[in-house]
Order: sequence, then structure tokens, then C-alpha cells
Amino acid sequence: MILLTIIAMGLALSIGELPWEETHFETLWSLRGGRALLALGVGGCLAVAGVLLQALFANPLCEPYTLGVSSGAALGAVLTGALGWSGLLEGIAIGPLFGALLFSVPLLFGPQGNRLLLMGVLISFFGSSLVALTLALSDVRGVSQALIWLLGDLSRATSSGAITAILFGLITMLWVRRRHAELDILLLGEKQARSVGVPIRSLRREILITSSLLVAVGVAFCGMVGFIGLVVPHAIRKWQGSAHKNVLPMAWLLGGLSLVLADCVGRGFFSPIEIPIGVVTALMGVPLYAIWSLRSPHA
Amino acid sequence: MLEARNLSWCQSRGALVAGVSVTVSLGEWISLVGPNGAGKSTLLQVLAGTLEYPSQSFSGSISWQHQDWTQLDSRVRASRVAYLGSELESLFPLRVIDAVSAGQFAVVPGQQRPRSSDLRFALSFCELEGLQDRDLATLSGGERQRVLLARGLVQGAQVLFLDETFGKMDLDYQFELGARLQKLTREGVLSVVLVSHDPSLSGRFADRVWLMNQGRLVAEGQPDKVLNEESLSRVFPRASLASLFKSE
Repeated sequence: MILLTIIAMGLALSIGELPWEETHFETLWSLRGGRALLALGVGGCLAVAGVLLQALFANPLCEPYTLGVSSGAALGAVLTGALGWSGLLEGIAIGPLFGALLFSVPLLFGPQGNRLLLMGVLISFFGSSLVALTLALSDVRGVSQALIWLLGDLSRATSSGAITAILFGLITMLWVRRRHAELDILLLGEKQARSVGVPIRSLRREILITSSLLVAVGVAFCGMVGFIGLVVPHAIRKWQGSAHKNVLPMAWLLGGLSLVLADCVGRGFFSPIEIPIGVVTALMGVPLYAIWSLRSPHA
Repeated sequence: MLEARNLSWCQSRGALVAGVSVTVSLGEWISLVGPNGAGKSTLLQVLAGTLEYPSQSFSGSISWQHQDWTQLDSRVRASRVAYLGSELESLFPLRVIDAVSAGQFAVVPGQQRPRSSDLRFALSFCELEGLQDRDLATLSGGERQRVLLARGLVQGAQVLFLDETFGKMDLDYQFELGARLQKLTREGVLSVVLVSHDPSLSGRFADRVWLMNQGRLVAEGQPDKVLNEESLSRVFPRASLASLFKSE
């Protein structure tokens, strides 16, 4: 899979207006390298967050955006957009970052189990309504940038920001991986986990903090890229089994790989028109996954 | 070994368990009998520690060999008492062997363990050798209950709380696994507290019986002293049940 990722990175560099032969590597790298690296980093963050949240709730329908952290990010984006402030720092959109972090706070003090899940979904609706309110009250031009961002946008990538995203995802993944045994047991449900002595309270807090940070970083860099965080964990589990020792690093890699490929498609297919990457991941992911999932007893 | 004094567990609607004092000694089989909603499951979960301590709902005291049970690490508790319910499922792909070895999480390094905690012993005890690589989702309810029991053994717990854990198993499995567990209790390596709605199973293996109603322990003692017409009719007023509980 590492090999596949390297091939995908090469592909990402070569797709576009300028062909390989006529240009120097440096030129290509400066145009597309940061972007490809960012796709790699963000895809990894989202996939790992998906793995963690699905395990926490023992629910295959969970994904990084289920808990409403992302709607906080969306709110941050349209608010800063409406105020006419772009707020970029090394490719990180400050508004969404703060929105996401703010919306993840109530989860840490919230109830348990499915009630927490319900609360996350409610927070998500609340956030979306505030986004709609902001859109209704502000003028169109300021918000159009925010709308592009909402569909996923890698165009503001910088190499250093992208490397930050990759390292952040990788380190967080490796750190949370030390609790792989607990995560495996959570797949049997919270009740079973308690019964074998898993300290649910501290584990839940750790997973919520970790996954909220991963989502916040992911969306702050490139907006709402859907589907990676839902499907990549399932694909890995179906392929490799459910042991988180392997699932976490594999998901991190496959998440990055998928997003790099999706970006290639988004840039190459209707070139020179660029399709928002969130649209590509969903349009490609849904049919692929539907076909695959019909052949298995699990979701 | 495990001793509870004046244990209560209250919720906004009232006490689910009210002032119960019980002890479990090593090597005994206790059948816990009572009508629906009597507080049987709550009592066992509070005792096992799978409902969180500390909690405002909780009052009374529990001790394990004179140590404060509620202060122990959850993993240590799970290596001494295993609470097994009636269901084991997952919406994710998991093999039987994964679910059984989940019990090893409770294994505390350096602590002496009974041989029942050996993975192979547990699988053969519950006759799961042929199923160990099967996906949990492809098993029947009764087969999954055998997986659950195997996991409880792997935890290495000296006390097994079996809360309707036999409910969906074939009758011959219920009695054979019951007999195998009874053998372990006779050897003095295990204690069992069984909740079952099947009177023949409850009556058959019990050394002692706890009879619960409305959150309280209403009678406790040897089977023939508790499972008689007089005390049973106070708890189950609709039918005469004493003859069903007869053990051989």
C-alpha cells in the first residue's frame, strides 16, 4: 500500500495542464506537490477519526462529521467569510479551526453512549441552522468563498502546512494506537467492554479529544471532505479484519491515498474545470462501496 | 470472598436495589430467583462494578477479601468477577476467537490465574473449537452465548455472574455446561451466581438461593428452604411453582 501511495503521489504531480517531459520537477512540485501532500495528510486524519468514532459507539454509521464538530467548522467558515476576513495561516483557515474546537467542547461533558451520539447529531443540526442563518443575512460575494470551502477545497495548500497535517495525523494515530486492545473490545459494545474491565470513562474522553482534533485539523485545512472517514475504516476492516493495531495505520494510509486519487480525478476529469474534492469522494465512493458491501454480512 | 452490605442503587423513579446484604464464597453456586423487574440484573451489575462507581445512585459497601471493592481498578475487578449478560453481538466483522480473547484484557500481570482462563481450555470447555474462526454475525443466539461464557472464563474470574447466559442455548448444552461449571465450583476454583427463568436450571445446581422481589432480598438460604410454596407464592402469586424447581 505504501508503494501504491507513492505511485498515486506521482500521478498527482503529473495530472494537469503541464505534462511531465516539458517541465522541471521543481516547477511541478511547487504547483502540485503541496496540494498532493495536503490530500495525503487530511485523508489520513479523517480516516483515523472515523475508525475511532465507529469503535467508540460500536456503530458502523459513525463518521467524523456525526458529532457536529464539522458543523462548528462550517459555521466558523461562513462567519469569517461574511465578515470579509479570510484568516489563513499556512493554509489553515482559522475560523473553521476555532469553530470546530468550540463545538467539540460540549461533547466532553456530555452524556454517554447513544445519548452522546444523539447530542452530537443535535449539535450538528444547530450548527447547520446557524450556517443557514448567516448565509441568509449576509451578502453573496463574501460567502461564496465559504461555500467553495464547504465542498472541500485543496487549492490553498502550502507544503509546510501539508507536512504539518501529515505529521499531526501520523503522530496522533500512533499515540492512540497504544490503546488498540481497548478499541478492539469496544466493537462488542460498551457493556461488554465494561465487563472485561475497560476504563470506559477515560477511554471515551481520549477518543473524543483525539478525533475532534483530527476532524478540526482536517476541515480547517481543506473543508468538508465527506465519505473518506466513513468508508475507509469499513474497507480496511473488511479487508484486514478488525484488529485496531493494523486498522489504524492502514486506515491512515488508505485515507490519504484515496484523497490523493480523488483530487487527481477532480482536477483531471473535467480539466481545466476543477470539481470540488468533496463531490468526487462521494460520487466515487458511494457506488464503489455499495457494490462491495452487498457481498458481505456486515454494514 | 465478595461481600456486600446494605447495598442500594437508586434512580429518579426509585430504588432498583434497596438495602441488599449478600456474600459470595469461593466454590459455591447461587441461584438468583425473582420476578421481572425485581432488580436481579441491577444487583449483579452493581456487585460486579460494570455500573460506574462512584455514583450518586450507589450506597452501601462492597468488599473483596476485606478490600474496598469500589476503589479497585476496573481491570482488577474484571479479573475477579465477570458479569455475563445474555447477548454478545457486534456490527463489525469479528471472529469468535477475537471475542473470546477480549477476556484477556482483564488478565492482570503477576496475579495467579485458574486454569479456566487458558484460551484453549475455555474454547474446549464451551465446545467452540470448530467455530473459532467463524464471524460472530454468522452464529446463532445460543452459539453466541457459548462464546460469551468462554470469554468469561478467559477473564480468569473466580466469580461468574451468569445473567440469563444460558437462555438461548440448546437444552443439552444448558445442562452439560451447567454440570461442567458445577464441577469447577466443587473443585473450589470458581463461584457461580446464576439468573435464569428456567426453574429446573435454577434448582438443579444451586447450593444456595437468593430470592428477590422489588429490589429487596426477601429470602436466602438452601434451595429447599427458599424454593418452597410458601416463599415462592409471595413473589410469584399467579401460579404454583415450587414443584418446577425440584432438583434431583
